[in-house]
Amino acid sequence: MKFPIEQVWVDDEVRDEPLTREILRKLPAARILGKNEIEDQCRAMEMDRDPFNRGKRTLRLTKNKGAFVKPCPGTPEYICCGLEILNIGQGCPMDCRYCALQVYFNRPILEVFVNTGDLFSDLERHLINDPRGVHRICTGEFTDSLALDPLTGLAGKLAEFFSRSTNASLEIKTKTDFVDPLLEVDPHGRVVIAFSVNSREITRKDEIRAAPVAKRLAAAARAEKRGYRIAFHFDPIIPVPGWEEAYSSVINEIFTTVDPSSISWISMGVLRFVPALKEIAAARFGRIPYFHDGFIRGLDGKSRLHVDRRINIYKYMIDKIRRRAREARIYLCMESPHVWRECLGISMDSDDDLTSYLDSAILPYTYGL
Amino acid sequence: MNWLNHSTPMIVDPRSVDLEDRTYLIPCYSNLSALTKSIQRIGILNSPLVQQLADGRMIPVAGRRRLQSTVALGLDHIHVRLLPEAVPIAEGFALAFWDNAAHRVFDIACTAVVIRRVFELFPRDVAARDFLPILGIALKGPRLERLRAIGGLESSLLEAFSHGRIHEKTAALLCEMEAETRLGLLDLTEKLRLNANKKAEIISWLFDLSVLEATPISELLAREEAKSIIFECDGTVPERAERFRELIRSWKFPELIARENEFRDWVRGQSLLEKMSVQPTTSFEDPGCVIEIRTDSTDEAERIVSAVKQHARPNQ
Repeated sequence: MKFPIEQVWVDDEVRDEPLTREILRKLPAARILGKNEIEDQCRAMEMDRDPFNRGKRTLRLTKNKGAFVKPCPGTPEYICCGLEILNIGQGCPMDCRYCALQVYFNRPILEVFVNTGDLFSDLERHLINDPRGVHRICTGEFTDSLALDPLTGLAGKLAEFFSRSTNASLEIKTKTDFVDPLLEVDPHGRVVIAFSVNSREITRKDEIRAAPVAKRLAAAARAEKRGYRIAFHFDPIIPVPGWEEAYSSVINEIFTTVDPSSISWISMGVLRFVPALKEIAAARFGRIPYFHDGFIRGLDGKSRLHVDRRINIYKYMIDKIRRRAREARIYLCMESPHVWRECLGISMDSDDDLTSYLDSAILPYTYGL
Repeated sequence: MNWLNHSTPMIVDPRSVDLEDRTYLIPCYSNLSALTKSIQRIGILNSPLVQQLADGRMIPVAGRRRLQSTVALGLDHIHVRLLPEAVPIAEGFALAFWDNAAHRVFDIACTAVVIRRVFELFPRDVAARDFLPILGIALKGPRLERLRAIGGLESSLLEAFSHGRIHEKTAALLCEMEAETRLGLLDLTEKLRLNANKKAEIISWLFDLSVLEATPISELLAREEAKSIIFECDGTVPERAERFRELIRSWKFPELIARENEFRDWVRGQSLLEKMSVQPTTSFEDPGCVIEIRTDSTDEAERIVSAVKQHARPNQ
């Protein structure tokens, strides 16, 4: 286990779940806390000046009482990709300085939803009942898809499930290199392992406890060899001085490692954040220069760089990618139709347009089989 | 223990009390004149509480403003109660706190000073249990730490904060600067007669630029373009203030300012009618525009709408 878990909070109602027992077996050194102790710990965490430090070493095993599959929240006024989120838990043991999750959780512990029986039945029901043609489902929105997989072993089971599905694909999104258990499964092209990537400098300084870029790419190569579809997310792109060379280098390394035909999509998003993040990150890590760049309030209320600057950044990145993979399916995360037109020459006027654009990447592996 | 029962009455010259001492300070940034007039008319009803230290110095515990008023009135002897030297500072501070909390509402600047002192004198759990609920500040979230930092600012900044001349977020940013820098910024922005919102903009932009470029704010302000506005004798203060704001804004948002200038020139070239204006989308996020035409009547509006429809039809 790469990430240190010092405490496990077990909710009474999931004490007998098979996954609870499995996780506890793998964490012999962790303190298991009961209900009263958990309340004390909650209070202590609320008093902590940086609850994240404690929270990232605390794992709560709990039950998801709501729906497991939900649409991606997206953001108003910008084009969203129509991804659906499969909630396997929330919180992340890595500690990216730019991470948006820092704003959202008052009690920033790691949570795993151990009622996986409900998860699979909910998922099955969703895929049968929902009349939509094809579903792109991702586990990496409120957590990293693989960070806690050495404990849960869930990714392999999900890959098995989706390998048999005819109307859905699973996107496993990660900054780790924990892909090896997945190599036991033949995904039939229906599972995409997506690696969030960034420049080496940003990875080293800002993505605390995440795998180095080289390890992520080596994991991508192993997954590709086993028949997994691969994706890359350049998000957030952070234009610090020298960013052009830094990102070019990573793009080149991607195409040296992975065959372009194995890549389902490459997404890009220039750093944007809810304004509160700037102060929260400063309180935790000290002032981070890039948060002080010329951010203005975007149409969705988030701080964004000026549109002209974003366009220039995207154009640069797209040019570098196209030089290595002319046909790469590139998409912009939460951008306007104007930016799409300027950067990619594509009319992307609605969420449905982008949904179709990305669905076409997985169709050959679902109904098309 | 009720420490008032253990204090002793005595008469002192108020000028002998060190009113600058901050040991038990619960500040109040409102004007003293009403209190001074009240003391002049009816005297002091409740004696201030003071403590004599081992070195002989006498410091205020409760009733600092009453003491300040008596000094202002030129009184040379007043009744006080003397708290024994052995009373621990935390106990004395709690006494001052509860004395104040009982009869006044703390403004946010005062709250910041009190929070800072409470966390210096008491463990976190005691602060959370005994003081924060009275102050109305939640233990979790970033605000507590922000106020705690603000509580350490210089009196002139705290006074500006108390009177609403700077916002809480501005005060928090100023905490991250050197004392000389922040006092200089307050002085500069007050001389330019900027309101709290404009101060907030300018100070946050300068702070951002300073962090991004790893350059002290004093160096940014020493640039020729800035100096020429700051030290200029021509022009009214509001004009200079606006030019100064625009300058800092152009450093912070160069692309936006370039687009604004370009757009302004374009609009000028359109020779628009008097009742007409064209606005870009927010921050030029897309190339669209909003055309606004004011009319004197619905009939006129109808004619214009009809003409626009005629014009738009071929492109449909």
